[in-house]
Amino acid sequence: MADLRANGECNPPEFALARVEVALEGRPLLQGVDLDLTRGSFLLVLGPTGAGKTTILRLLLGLQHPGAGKTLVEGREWSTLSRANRAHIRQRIGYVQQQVGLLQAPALYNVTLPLRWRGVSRDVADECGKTAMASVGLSGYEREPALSLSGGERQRLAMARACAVEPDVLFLDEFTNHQDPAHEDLLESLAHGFHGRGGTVVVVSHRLDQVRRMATRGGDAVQIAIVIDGQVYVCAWPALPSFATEPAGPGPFLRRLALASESEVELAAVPTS
Amino acid sequence: MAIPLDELVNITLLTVAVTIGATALGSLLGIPLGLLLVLERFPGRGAIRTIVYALYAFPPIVAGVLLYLLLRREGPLGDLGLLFTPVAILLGETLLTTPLIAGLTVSAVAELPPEVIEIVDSGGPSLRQRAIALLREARFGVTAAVLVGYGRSLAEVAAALILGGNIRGETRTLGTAILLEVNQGDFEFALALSALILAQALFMAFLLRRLQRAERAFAHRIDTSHGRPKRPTSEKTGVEG
Repeated sequence: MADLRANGECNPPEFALARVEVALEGRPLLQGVDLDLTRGSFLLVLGPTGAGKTTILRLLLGLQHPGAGKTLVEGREWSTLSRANRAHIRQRIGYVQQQVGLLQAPALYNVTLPLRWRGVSRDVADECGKTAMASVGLSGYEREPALSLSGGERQRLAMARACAVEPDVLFLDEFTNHQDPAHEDLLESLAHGFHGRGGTVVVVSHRLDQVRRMATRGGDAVQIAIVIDGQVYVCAWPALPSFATEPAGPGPFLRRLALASESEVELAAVPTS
Repeated sequence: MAIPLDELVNITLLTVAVTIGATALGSLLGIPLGLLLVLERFPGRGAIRTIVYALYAFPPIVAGVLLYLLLRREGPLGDLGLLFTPVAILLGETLLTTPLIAGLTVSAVAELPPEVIEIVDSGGPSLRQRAIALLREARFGVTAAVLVGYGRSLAEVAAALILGGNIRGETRTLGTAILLEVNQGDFEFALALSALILAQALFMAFLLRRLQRAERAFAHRIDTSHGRPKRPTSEKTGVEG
């Protein structure tokens, strides 16, 4: 992939949520949430559907403002940044949505547009775009209308779009939901590789098997954030079983998750009492 | 024939010029206004939107009277000497097309899927890049808005009569000419002129249909001329979700 960065190293900004509250149509979704995303961290966000995991990503991206509290990037509130500053920071972030939004245009155009926005020439952008598409197994699909792709292909195209801009941060929201195991492994490897180069990664998932796999592969750097009942509980992966024993908070959710899991490798250490 | 052929040609050309001019001006003003109203948050946005929607039903006769008061010799813009000129008609028709094109642009962009707007925003575009990307995405709806604006001003009579004065050889349009022929009892010729207007309207409908077909074909990936295109197979591996 053509390198758009001067030195090839990631220099991700720091993000934080401070006492953030979000309500959805009057119903409280997040209540006084604190979360720090330090440079180069690897955060796996786990929680039941509808708990507010996607909302956390949108808050971190500054696409949504909280009802109360602060959403910070590099120590400054998103809402106080100028349009140019917001754009500049977002250009360093690659985002794969849960519900992938694609433009009614050829697949390659979807991947290269963010590059063109930052002044990259068409030739270079096309080259980067093709390389990024190849990295997710979409070579030969460049001229296909993006909307004609299948669900899994769309998701991989979104991953190509996120990676093509050589970001410092990757926000991945249920990013392998429509993938077969081989492609799921491919996408997870891309995320791990990106983190290995110093990038910050946030993966939202409601699947324990994926969280376990990525946490194991990611090593000590990985942190887990469990979003449940409006709260966020952060711990390192090895500490997750101790969370599961707690009578309140994420405990009951984790025990249910472990019980519901059919695979014997799913969080084997979690007591099911 | 009630009108010599060369005069008929001039009337038709003036009508086409005024209609296209008012559509172009209405688009130049209406599309950016629509984008502003749908993409930006600012105080008074709701009120302006309401006014724009109200002006969908702006009676041409009222638009004509208001502009007449501005452009007449004693009016604030009287010194420009525009009253009873084609420019006055053009301004009147633009007053009618602009809110319609603006309002329909708002609708076209507002109907875009939220995830599309979100992914555009998350890429960090400038104000202009964002507007262009979303306008491109809403292109079919916005084009329809422009064509509806064209229909609004096509051979419109009331404003054209008040502001142009139906002066032979200068400000007579197909619409005002028909009115004159009816008043003089020459219904046959009035019908012939009406056919000319209908031909323009049909052409517009034809364009709209072509656009809709193009959009459908695109959305469902149906190539109407060559059958379903082949998908690349080189990198296709595994089961697709």
